[in-house]
Amino acid sequence: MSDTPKRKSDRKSDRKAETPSSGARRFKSSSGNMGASAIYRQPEWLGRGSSGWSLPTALPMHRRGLRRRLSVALVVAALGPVIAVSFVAVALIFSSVEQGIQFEAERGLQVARGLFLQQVQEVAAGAVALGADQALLRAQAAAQTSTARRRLGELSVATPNALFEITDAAGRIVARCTQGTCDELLTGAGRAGLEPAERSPVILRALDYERTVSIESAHDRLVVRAALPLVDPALRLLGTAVVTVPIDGTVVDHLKAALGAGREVVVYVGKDPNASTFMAATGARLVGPTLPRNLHVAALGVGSSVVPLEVDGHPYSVAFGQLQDVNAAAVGLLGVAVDREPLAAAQSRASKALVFGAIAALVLAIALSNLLARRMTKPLQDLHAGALAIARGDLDTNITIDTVDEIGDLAEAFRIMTRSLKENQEGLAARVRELVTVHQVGRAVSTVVDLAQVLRSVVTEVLAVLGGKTAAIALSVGAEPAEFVVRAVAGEPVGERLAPLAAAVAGLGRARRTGAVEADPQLMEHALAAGLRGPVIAAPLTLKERLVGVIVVGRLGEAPFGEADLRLLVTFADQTATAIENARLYTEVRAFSEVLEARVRARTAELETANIEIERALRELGAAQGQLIHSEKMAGLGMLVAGIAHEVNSPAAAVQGLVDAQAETVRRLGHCAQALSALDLPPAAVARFFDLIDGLLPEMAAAPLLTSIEARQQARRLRTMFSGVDGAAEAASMLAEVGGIGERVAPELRALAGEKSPAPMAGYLREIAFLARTSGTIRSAIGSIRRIVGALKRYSRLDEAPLERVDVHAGIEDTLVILSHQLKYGDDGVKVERSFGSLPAITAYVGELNQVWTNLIHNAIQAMDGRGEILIETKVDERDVLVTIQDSGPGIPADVAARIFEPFFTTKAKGEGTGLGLSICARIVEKHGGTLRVDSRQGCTRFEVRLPIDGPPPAPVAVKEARVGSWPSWSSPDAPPASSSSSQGPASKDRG
Amino acid sequence: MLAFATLLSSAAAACQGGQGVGVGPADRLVVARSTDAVSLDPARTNDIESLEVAEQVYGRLVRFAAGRLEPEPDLATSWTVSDDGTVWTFELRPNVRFQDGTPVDAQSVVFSFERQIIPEHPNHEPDFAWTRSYHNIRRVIAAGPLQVEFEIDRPYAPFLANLAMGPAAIVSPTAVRKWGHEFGRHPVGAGPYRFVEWIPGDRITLERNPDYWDQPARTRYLVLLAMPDSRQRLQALESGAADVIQQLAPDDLQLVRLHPDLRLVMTPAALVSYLAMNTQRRPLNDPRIRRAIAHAIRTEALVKLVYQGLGIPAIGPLPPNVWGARSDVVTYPYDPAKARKLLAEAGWQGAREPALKLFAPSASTQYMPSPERVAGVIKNCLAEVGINVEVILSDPADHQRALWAGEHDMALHGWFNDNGDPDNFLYTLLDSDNTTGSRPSNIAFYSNGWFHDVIGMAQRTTDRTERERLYSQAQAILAIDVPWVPLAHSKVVFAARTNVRGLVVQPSAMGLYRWAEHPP
Repeated sequence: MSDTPKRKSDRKSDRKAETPSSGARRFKSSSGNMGASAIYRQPEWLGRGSSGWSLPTALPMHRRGLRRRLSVALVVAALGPVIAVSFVAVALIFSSVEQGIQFEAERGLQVARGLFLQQVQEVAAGAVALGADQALLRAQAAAQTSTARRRLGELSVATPNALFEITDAAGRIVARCTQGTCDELLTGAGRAGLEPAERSPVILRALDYERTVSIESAHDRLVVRAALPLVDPALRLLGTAVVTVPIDGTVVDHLKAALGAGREVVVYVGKDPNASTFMAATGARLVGPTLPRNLHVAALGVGSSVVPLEVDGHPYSVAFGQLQDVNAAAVGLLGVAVDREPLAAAQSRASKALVFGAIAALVLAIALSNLLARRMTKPLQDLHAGALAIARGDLDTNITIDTVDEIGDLAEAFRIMTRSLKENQEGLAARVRELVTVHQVGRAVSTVVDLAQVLRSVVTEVLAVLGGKTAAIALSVGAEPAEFVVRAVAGEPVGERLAPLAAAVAGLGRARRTGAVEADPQLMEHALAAGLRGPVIAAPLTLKERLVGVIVVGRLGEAPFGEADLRLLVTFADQTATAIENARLYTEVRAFSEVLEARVRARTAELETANIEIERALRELGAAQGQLIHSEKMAGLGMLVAGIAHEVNSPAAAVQGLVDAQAETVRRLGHCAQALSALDLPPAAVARFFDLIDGLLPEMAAAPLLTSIEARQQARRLRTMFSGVDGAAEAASMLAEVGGIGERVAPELRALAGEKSPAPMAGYLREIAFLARTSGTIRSAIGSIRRIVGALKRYSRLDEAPLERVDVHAGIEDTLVILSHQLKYGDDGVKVERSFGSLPAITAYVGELNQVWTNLIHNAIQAMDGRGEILIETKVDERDVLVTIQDSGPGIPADVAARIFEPFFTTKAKGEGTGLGLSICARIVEKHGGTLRVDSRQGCTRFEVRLPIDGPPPAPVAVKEARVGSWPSWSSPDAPPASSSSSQGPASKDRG
Repeated sequence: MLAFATLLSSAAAACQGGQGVGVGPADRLVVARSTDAVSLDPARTNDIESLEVAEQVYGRLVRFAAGRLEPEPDLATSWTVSDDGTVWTFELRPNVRFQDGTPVDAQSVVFSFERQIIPEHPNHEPDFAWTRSYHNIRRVIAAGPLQVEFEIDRPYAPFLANLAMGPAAIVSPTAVRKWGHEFGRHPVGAGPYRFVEWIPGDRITLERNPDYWDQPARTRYLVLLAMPDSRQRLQALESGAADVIQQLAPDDLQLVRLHPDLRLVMTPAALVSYLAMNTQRRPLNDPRIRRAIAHAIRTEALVKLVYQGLGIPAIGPLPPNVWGARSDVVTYPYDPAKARKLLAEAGWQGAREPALKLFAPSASTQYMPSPERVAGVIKNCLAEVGINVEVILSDPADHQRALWAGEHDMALHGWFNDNGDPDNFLYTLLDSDNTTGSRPSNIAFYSNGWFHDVIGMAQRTTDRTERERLYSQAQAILAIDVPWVPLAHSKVVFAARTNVRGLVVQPSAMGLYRWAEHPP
């Protein structure tokens, strides 16, 4: 809305603002965002009343409009719901009837399909009877085609509409009969519906011993076709029997008979009608309706779909469902139609009734509503006239309505409202003026901190608000008794002459005005002395009960000041006093902060110098430590490489030896094969022999060798088994070399060899067994080489590995593989016991963790002098993974244990260790947010590594690092390391 | 001495009956079965219908994976076996509760087993059906709040598979104490469905357990109807009154195949049928004659014709969906010439030899649809190579007795596996341990030291790869020795409406309905 109310726009845009009181309300509510001076300079707008208002001129039209609207509303209210409800009801009834028909059609389809499939089963049963006919089977078995055909003809008499066929075992049709007549040359032409079964998939299935019934399309017709294998008692396949029944009028008539009146059945092959029960008026069978273009046979799939169709000008709802062959492919459709005629008739009757009823109700409603509207609008018109008079400003208008209803109450309320309107107008205008001014002055003084400027703006505003010749502020200087100095004047300059007046006001301690009954004669006197001849108004400025000044306003013989003016001035005085205090405080604070800033600058300069020194010292220290750590890492790797070379070498040497031996064996195998072929065994025996060897291969690879005593005993037993055969001793001793299997295969060998010598076979078996056994050994040797190399590969990822999910067990196992050469030192070596719990993968730096395991296990081995037991335990403890590595070494003395985590602390001879190992372990564990503890006594030293499953906490703060001056991380000297104090904390606690 | 720990019993109500309102058909999966359940107390039931319901209501330490008889974690998340193989330690899944709010902890596991294996237990009942199955458990100890230890009498790897079986269900001790003998009608477990209502002879209603530790069931209600008439079951399926039916009549298979709204859901059962040959009696103690018989029978045609698509030809004792099953062993395809040759080598006298007695049950059995026909075909096939066979038909009980007594030369027999472990087939049916006693289960009386050693080693080791290697060896031995002519593995067949998705049929002939849903 606009900031200055305009009468015309007001009348047009807001009918409620037609009375002055509402206009005033509007003004008040919007004063906050209006220019205060703009409002204040139009006080006459409020005082003038509403004499200038013009009234709406369209009064008669207004009255008529109300009545018309009322009658329309009544008509709509009465008639609308009735019509809506009727339409909804009719729609509901229609849709439920429609649904009923759909349901009927779908149910009919379900029943028809069930019946149809039962008929299909009957066809299948007919075929089964064919397969059980002994005479037919005998004829087929004897390949007597004419006898078989005669028998088939006899069997076909019983089922008049079916085609009977039999094929030979190759699937060729040898007889084809229908209704007792047989002719192998019968074809589809001229024999409507009886389509021959050549190349039907059911025959192929029957040739594979499967009984099948299917629905197929043959020569554009649908047929049911059942086939089954013909077999003799020993299941030799003699041929197949096929029964074909066309899906024709007879079939659909049968279905319709089951469904009852008003239902029609139709069958489609693909999208073409195949058979239907629709009849024309003449009684002739119709081919059935054409399918709608948008009905897709294949997409119909599961369930059914109901569509409206017209047949011979008659409406039907047709439910369609698929007919499938045995591979679930769609071959056609089955439809059940329900007559829609009764529904259409009911629909048209209901529509007519609805239209007539609606027209009658409309006429009645218009007449009634007109009458009601006329009665209701009379008192409203009276009230309207009265309200318009008041709006014109005639607040004395009397509204005379005596009806005892809401309209009567409304008239009475109007009367009361008019009275209070008059009373409020004046007081409201004055109050608004004060508020606006105070607001503006308050805003002016509170935003300015310069004292002189504050005082200047106060006097200017005061003069503007109260009007007059001059306005001034005098402030007190010095102590008691106060002297006053004029600091700001607006209007006519009064200068120092005002000081005595100010002192007098101050003495009185409260605001004063001249020309009033209680006016002080002394004040009057000072005013005159100051040259103020007119009325004077003055107020003291007090701050926390201390007088700081006086504000004075004088007029030139004009109207005296009122009580409201005095109130206004006191308000000004309070705000001015506050502003004076603010200004003083601000000045003090600024002076103080300047001193502080100077001091801070000086201290900062000193600190910067010191920091540069510290940073340089740290850099030097870091470089030295990095050097040391690198040499530790290289020493460790050297140690590992030496061990691994040894590990890889032993199996490689073994493989070399075995491969040489195998070459020799292969050569001998050649001789054996020669000897074997020289035996000239029957081919079946040779094949059986090689079958036998193939079956035994896995066992031979795993079979243990016999001791020489056992072998001798076995050879003796075998010799007796082979007694009387050439080369018995030779064969026996060779079989004994094969181990336990030899004894088991001996009878087989003897049987296979017959009268010939079993020795070549035994020799062959021996060589094969040797090859099988050595191959296994070679595989395991190569396996162990690959294991070591694999472990080294994973292990050596070290530094580059980012934070990732790590399997702790895998890391420990890899480390054990790498250190395995150290574990085997001496006669008994180091025994490693694992007690692994079920651990989740943890988030960690895999390379660094491996370094921890290596250090701890290596230390353990060295501590035990390469002889003893290491127990590695893992488990989950709340959100941590706990790994303990325990050795059976001599233990760590208490004074040494206290220092083992310190960098460069070593008990080894000079040059043997850097003394960084455990310190680095502690660093790594600490970096992962875990702890490393040691607990040692004679014969049992336990290192316990605790690592959080979720990985290290967020990166440590760099400031902390600088202050503590700790180790840089060993693996990446640039990364911010954590404090070292906490990782050693728990360890020292344990030692205590 | 076992200490009975007392459990804190929660005050939660065990059962809230009644079905929710506004339940649409998509919220309900209806399964029609031929028989009603007998009891829903897992310790009491040994009929497949009861076990199937128990399978839905209860959790176990381990459960069979979908479609395979292989244990996977259920209420236990991991397990370890002591070095000597006699102590199994299971870590339980934390924060799992029974459907009545009782926490699933070590005590409840101990309770579930002790009430079955200790006759003095206050909640033991004399008619518990499975007490003998767990006779090898020495004791069950709660080693921690979520840790249970089983001590068994000897190393026995198939023990894990035994814990996946129906009676190993973990029951709510609160509910068992509350209902006592009536617990079988108010079952409370920690499975995917909770029990709602049982109208005997009509239906059992289960509702999805929203707090199931695994993915909750897809469909809210599972209703298991009892419908003895197979025709009626099929009609219910056609009309949509049932979403899944079991025990389909063989003749109806064709109808289901041709019906666009229906489909078959099949899986090979953990079952084998075979022709056992008495390896301890002349003349079948000669492996050449056994091999000749294997070559002389048209096994593949026989299985296709007799089982009509509801069975697959067997290569060895293990069905293909049992782990460890091996298909690359020596086989004996139909080859009458080879059979005749083997017989000649063995000195077979043809018609002059006395007839071999072939025992067969007179009625169809779970493992074989028409044993009489099978026996007839075998007789005719063997006659073609010069072996006379006398078929002796007797009712199943007499048949079994005759086999125990070892009166047969050959016999038709079958085995329905309990726990999906290869040991359950190979040890039970073919190990020399089981040739003696009054009820020998090895009715081929097959005895081979090598085979015995391999099977024994496989029982004692718990390393799965090693066991698989050993069973592979054992099957190779069998293939060479031919104590049986393996015939067929039957299939379990369910029929479902085409829109039912996620239905899993287990080789144990039970349905897994957790993933099943049918959008409208």
